[in-house]
Amino acid sequence: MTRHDRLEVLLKTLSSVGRITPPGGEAGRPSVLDEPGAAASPVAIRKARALAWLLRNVPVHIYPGELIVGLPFRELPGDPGVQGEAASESGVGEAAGGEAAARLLPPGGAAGEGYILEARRRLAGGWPLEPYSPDIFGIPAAGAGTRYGLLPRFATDQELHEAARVGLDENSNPGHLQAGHARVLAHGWSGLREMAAAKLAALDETTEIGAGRAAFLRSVLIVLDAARDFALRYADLAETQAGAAADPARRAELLQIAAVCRHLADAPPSTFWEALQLHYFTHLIAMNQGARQMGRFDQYMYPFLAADLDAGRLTMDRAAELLDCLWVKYNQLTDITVDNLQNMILGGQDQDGGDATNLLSHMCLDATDRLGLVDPKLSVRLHRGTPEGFVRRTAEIIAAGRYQPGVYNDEAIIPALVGAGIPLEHARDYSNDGCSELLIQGRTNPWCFEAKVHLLQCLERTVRRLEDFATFDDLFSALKGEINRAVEMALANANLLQVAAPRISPNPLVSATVEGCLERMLDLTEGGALYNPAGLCASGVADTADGLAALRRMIYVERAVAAGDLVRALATDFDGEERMRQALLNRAPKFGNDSDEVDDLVVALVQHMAGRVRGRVNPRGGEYVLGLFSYGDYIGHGLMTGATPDGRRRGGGISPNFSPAPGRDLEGPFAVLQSTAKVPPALTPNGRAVDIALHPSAVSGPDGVANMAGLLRAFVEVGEMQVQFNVLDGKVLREAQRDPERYRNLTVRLWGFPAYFVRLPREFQEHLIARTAGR
Amino acid sequence: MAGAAGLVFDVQRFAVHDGPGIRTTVFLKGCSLRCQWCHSPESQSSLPEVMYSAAVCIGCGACAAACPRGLMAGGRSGPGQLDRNACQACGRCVAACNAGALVMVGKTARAEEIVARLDRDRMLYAASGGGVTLSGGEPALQPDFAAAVLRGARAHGHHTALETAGNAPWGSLSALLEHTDLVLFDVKHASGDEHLALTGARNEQILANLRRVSAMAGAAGAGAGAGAGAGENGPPRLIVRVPVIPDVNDQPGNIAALAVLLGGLPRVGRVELLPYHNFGVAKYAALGREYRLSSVPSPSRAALKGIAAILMARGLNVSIEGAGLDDPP
Repeated sequence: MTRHDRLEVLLKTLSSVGRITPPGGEAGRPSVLDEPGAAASPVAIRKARALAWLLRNVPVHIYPGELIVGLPFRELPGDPGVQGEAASESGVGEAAGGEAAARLLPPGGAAGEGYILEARRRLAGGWPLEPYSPDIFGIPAAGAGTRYGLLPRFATDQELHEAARVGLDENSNPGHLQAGHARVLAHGWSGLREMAAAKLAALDETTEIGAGRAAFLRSVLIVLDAARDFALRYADLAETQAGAAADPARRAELLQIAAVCRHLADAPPSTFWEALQLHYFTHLIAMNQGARQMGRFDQYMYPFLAADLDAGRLTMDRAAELLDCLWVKYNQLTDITVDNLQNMILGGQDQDGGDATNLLSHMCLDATDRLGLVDPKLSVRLHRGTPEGFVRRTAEIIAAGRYQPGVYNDEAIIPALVGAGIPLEHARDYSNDGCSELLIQGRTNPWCFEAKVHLLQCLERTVRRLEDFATFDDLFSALKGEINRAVEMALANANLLQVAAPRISPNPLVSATVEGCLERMLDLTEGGALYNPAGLCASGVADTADGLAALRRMIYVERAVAAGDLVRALATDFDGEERMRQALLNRAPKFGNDSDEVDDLVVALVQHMAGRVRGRVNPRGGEYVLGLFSYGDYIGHGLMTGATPDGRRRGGGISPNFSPAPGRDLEGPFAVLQSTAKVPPALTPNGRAVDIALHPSAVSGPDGVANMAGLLRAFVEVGEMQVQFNVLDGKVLREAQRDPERYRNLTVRLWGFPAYFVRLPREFQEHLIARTAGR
Repeated sequence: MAGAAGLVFDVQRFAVHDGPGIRTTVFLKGCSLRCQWCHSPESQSSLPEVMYSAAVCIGCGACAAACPRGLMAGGRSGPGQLDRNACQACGRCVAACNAGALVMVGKTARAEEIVARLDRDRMLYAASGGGVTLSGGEPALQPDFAAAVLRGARAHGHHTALETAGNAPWGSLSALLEHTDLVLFDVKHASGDEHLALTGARNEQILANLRRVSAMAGAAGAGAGAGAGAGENGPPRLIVRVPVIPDVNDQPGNIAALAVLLGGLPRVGRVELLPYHNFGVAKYAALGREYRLSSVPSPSRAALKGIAAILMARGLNVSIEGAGLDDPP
């Protein structure tokens, strides 16, 4: 089979899409609670047995042409609701006859819709509009595992009841987990198993601490043994299929697949193919356990590629073909209705500060460009020493409108991480986590987004008392008081979740892969990882600073507006006060235009929050770190926020992440970066994302790629941490709204990931169009 | 000429079509031509003037109330009825307009201010091979100011480009050239009579200036990306730009004459064809003026290639909107 033919066959499997049926209740759901001694065993053991049951019972399947194998986990083994409804969803083609659907979609739903539904639910319920969550309602993403295979029952009724109070259940794996892929490749499952067994053998189990450690180590052994069996099931299946294969070439391939899987069951990988297969098996299981990012794939995978190429065991063409196979497998896990967090980051510095970009970094960019698929979601790390060829290739793909990759700046990020207490050589091994948060790959259990502060709502509450403030400083002090309350509530909520997690969501599989857990004999939910940061995410920074700048100008400097009039105008959503609203919009500077008058307010706000967060310890023993993110909540947060003194109307969208408010940056993309870079990166070690919309004409033409590359280099120089580009033409987006059929493949970048524009909720579409204004 | 000040109507950052790399384009107000197709009519007058956008106006009437000479009828239609002949551009209506529907086109700026703004984008110029471009209007009509900006920009290490229509005394133009790395010289029509009819001026001075610039021009580097030569202070490179306006200047006779004219110049780096667009039409309404070419279409790609072929037959290096002929449009 030629490479081209194989790719065609593989892509065809992506067209067979099944619908996930809603969980069918508890009837018939398997349980590990009935196993002998289960009731008395620790929850970690029961969870491990539940995962082991899944690994031994989940359907296995190999598609035609595949070299990398592993069927995405189903809700329940053999669920007829999945296989029976295999349908041609994407329009690419019909499902191959008799094949199980390759991809699964949840019923209905569009990317970001959850944020809107939640906001509407709260508004309809008359919930107080607060800059923090007065209740613990459960973090939507906390229910991570449910899309990729439900576990059998393993928790007691009492455990379930307590978990439900913080929105968790048996399939939750909260936090933005990342498996330690490098460690798995270095040791193999077998090596990790030996490590756990050796620790267990040396343990005194008679103490309470010893018993707890033993339970953790046994939970690891249970899942690693099951993972071994999982690989062997694929080895057996491949051999069976080889026996039945008519085509001798395919028969040989299947036998090779079987040999690869059998090898991985008991040994670390020794070839590129084996390394890719072990990576994908681990990824599949980790996806079920809430850990979905790949980290620095080009770094930990390259030695296997280089060794095979050097030894003449592998050609470049075959290596690229294997990557094609893996990329298609990632896309079997693609769910276009949500960010599935399949992130991969390429390039950047090595442990000594030299450049780490390699052949595989380029091959990964090429694969994404060649296949045009949304997964894996690529990011690149740039620094002053990044080779020109890699910057240029990155620029080409962005300019072509692939909405990838996101771009990270080592020069800003590494010092910020060092400032947060990470040793330099580890800081140089950072990776992105979910969309854009930062972590040290393979050594971290990050809770990066559960603590959220909606700054604009803090301002909204403060401004209700505007007439009490004689000076702008009084106003700012009062705002800081509101922010302090919001921070405390957010930290308290996030603490409760982190305390609850080990009682319902111990994670032996991911713990085995993350440095520190086996060494300390402690599950990562309990603080076993080497690094245990937790993020506090602030959103609405730009709108809040814009509002402050307008208040200072209009009320306290020019005295053009009376405080009482402004309060009344905000309460009535500027009814009859359009002239005042226009003054607030147009007569004060806005963040994102390199104007110190408002940018300094952003710096002051971020400094204040960083000060409140610094040194705060989370239940896992790590510290809280500040990040500037909204994720998709810039719509929901806006819906729940009344009219604000930046001239924004009630319910209007707010600024995404650490970006200017929509349509208010008028000085070009570099002025945006100059504004944002005034905030020292050291204040935001959890990261921050700046979204920039470029008009296609800015990066088209003979110099388009060179100019894009120039902008990337300037981004590195100016010292901003992370930037994500949308190459957008507002007119085209309007046209797509009118004629969605024609634009079904129009891709845009949301809060850290690409998505199909026409499938977005209207609110997100309008927000994107507003962001293209003035270009 | 320290402290030279001039009338500027826009400073556009992240400009990518006015010379190599990513640039800041400074638009000087005032032009000695009145081209029928001009896409920035607000650049023509050398006096400040008020521009009005009906799309943004909220009809509050504050402008009419603010006008000390009572030149607006009041209400929503007020700015539209501004008596422009009597308006002295005092700016009170603009100051009263919260919505930004009224803007004053043309503000006095000092050369140091402009240069300081350029410095903000230093990293961007360095990373992309960009710099500053003086455009207009006609920069050579404000020679002291333009020279001060160019000299200051160069002293700060920025690549300098000058966009000119050439209709200015040689003394004014040449004063700018010594601080200029790249000249973008517009040539609109070969015939003096036609030129007069289309732009309000004959072209003899323009063509004489073009020959002089060409004679002194630096090595004919054709590549657009070779802009990082700031500070070398050699003679400027020359790019000739020809707007192509269907039925206005694209007739075979004119193209043939232009080919002879440009082909006979001592040194031209490149000839760029700029296809006509009617993007400027809304601005005429905003200035209360009539646009005469509203029914003229953009030239077809085939027509542009045909024109390019004629020019290339004279040994000229030709591009369309800066792109090579075989690049996708």
